[in-house]
Amino acid sequence: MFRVRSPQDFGAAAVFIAIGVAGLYFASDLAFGTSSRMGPGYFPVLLSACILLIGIIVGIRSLSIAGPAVERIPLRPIAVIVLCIIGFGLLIERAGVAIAAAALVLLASYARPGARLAESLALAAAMVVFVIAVFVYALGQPLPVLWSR
Amino acid sequence: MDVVQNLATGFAAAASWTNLGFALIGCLLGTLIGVLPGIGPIPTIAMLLPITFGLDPLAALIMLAGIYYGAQYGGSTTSILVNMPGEASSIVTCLDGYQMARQGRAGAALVVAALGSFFAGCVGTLFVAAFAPPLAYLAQQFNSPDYFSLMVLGLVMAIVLAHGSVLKALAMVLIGLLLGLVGTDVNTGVTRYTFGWSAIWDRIDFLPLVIGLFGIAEIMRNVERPDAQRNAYSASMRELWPKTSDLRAAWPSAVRGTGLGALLGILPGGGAVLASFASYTLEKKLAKDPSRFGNGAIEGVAGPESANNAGAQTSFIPLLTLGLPSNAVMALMMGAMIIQGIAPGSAVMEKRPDLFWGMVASMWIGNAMLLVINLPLLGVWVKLLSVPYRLLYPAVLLFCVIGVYSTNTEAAQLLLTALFAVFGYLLVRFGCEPAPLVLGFILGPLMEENLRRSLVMSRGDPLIFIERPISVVLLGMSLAAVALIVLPQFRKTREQAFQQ
Repeated sequence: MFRVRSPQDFGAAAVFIAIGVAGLYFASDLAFGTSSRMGPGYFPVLLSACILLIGIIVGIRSLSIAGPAVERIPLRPIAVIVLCIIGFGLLIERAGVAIAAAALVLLASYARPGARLAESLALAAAMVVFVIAVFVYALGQPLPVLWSR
Repeated sequence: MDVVQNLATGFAAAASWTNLGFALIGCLLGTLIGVLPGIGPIPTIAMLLPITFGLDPLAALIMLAGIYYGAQYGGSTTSILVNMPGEASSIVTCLDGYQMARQGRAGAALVVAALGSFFAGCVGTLFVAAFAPPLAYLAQQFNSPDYFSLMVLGLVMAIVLAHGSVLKALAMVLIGLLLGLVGTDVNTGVTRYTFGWSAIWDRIDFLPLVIGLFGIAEIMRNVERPDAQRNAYSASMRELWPKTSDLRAAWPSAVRGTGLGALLGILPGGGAVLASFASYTLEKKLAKDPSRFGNGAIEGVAGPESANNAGAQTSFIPLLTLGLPSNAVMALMMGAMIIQGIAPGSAVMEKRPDLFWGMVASMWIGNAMLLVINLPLLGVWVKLLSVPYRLLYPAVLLFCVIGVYSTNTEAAQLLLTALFAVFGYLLVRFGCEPAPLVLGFILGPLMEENLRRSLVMSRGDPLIFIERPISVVLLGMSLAAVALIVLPQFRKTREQAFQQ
């Protein structure tokens, strides 16, 4: 049985192999061309093949040479922050930057345990004022303040 | 006296009140974000990039340069006061700077760092002014195969000098190159890897990539840690000024650090990080009593701090003359220039001398501003350090998101940002440094284009790369660099250097 001796390298190898394989697969319908007339697929295929090769080497090494463990990957902060970003994107075009910003700040406070609601509300209010004053008025960024575009 | 004349042109362009204002704002914002713990120059620049887009090119570049120097100095401040380097180039500053702070000499360390940086900045600016024209002249002789080989050299050096595993750094560069190719192929009009998604139809935008990879991935990593016990050592104005003996001990180190940093900064792949490590090692070697290092030796602050600033300055040389970004920060600068419609390279100096020399002059102005604003505002920066992270990160996240959205008001870019954030988070967990990826990303389309043109020139014969003299020299240098890492002796030194 194989045993993973270097989890970090093993993870990295998995990422490299996935990217290499995907790169090759999705380039398969691009014309490769010839050296003197490189098609759109030429350079991507070359790169993907190299990435795949490195992935395989790193993967084999991770089975033979011991290395550091992967630190715990907690889901909560990642999921909450991704939700914040997507939520902001959904809200800004529908409800304007004031609501989107407030929602983002409030939700983001819950990326770690032990958030204090009162404090987060105060922070959200302060950020909304700041964003409207600085980004919308001072910097003139194209952000809808409330509903209207 | 061309140098003087050129610098005069530059100062005339850069020293308008509005440009000075932007330099000041850049320095202030850069320092402001840079002192926030755990935010180094790369995320700082990425985050502040959008606000420069509305400016005219010179003002935008001046402001960005200000942001960079500010962020760098901010990083030194946190290294000295709380032992938290914002980024790799101030890791060595922690070693002795923090010890000095613990001994109540924080003020001396900060002043020496500021003075050393300013001196290095002055010398670095002269260096750029003196070396850029001949290099730009050389660059005019370059043809496609030479450019391709130059980029190979740049990427190889970035890999050799990166932290950690060489193989992983190589993979990062290649993945960056591949990501740079996503979108419409300029030559054939075919779209590649877009999966029919309109957000990446043209190409992957620069901002979602860097803000996701650096800004937001960084937040994801920091959020899960409980608020660290930060022992900030305050520096009152009274004890700020270093003793004469301190200054006497520090200035030779600052001079040596400046020279070393200026030289290493020009190297492709070099820059601030390499410069500061090299300078620390040099100071330790030269010291009569090396055991003082790590226990608050002022030379250990003066040398590396001067070196990283000199290196930061001169690393603009390959970017501005050859169009080759030597590290991730320069890749960001290049990205900003491209967004402003400027293709970095020797043509800039010729076609827009006001822009080129204005930027060189603004480097000096930025350094002078740092000296002027940092010392009086030290108290404010220290206060900022005590803002708890739970209040900080929602605000930083919000600025990142607004930055991405406001540049093209397209919500789909936010999804892309989130994807890169998760990707960047995973990369670091798997021990991969994402900085080389950005370098590859910026160079991807250029490299493909030059490869294509070279092979058209030679009708598909790859020997063209060794038939042209410039190209073969550059490739030879790349090979030598690769040979170096294979040699066990150098490998050991490299590992030691990064472990310190």
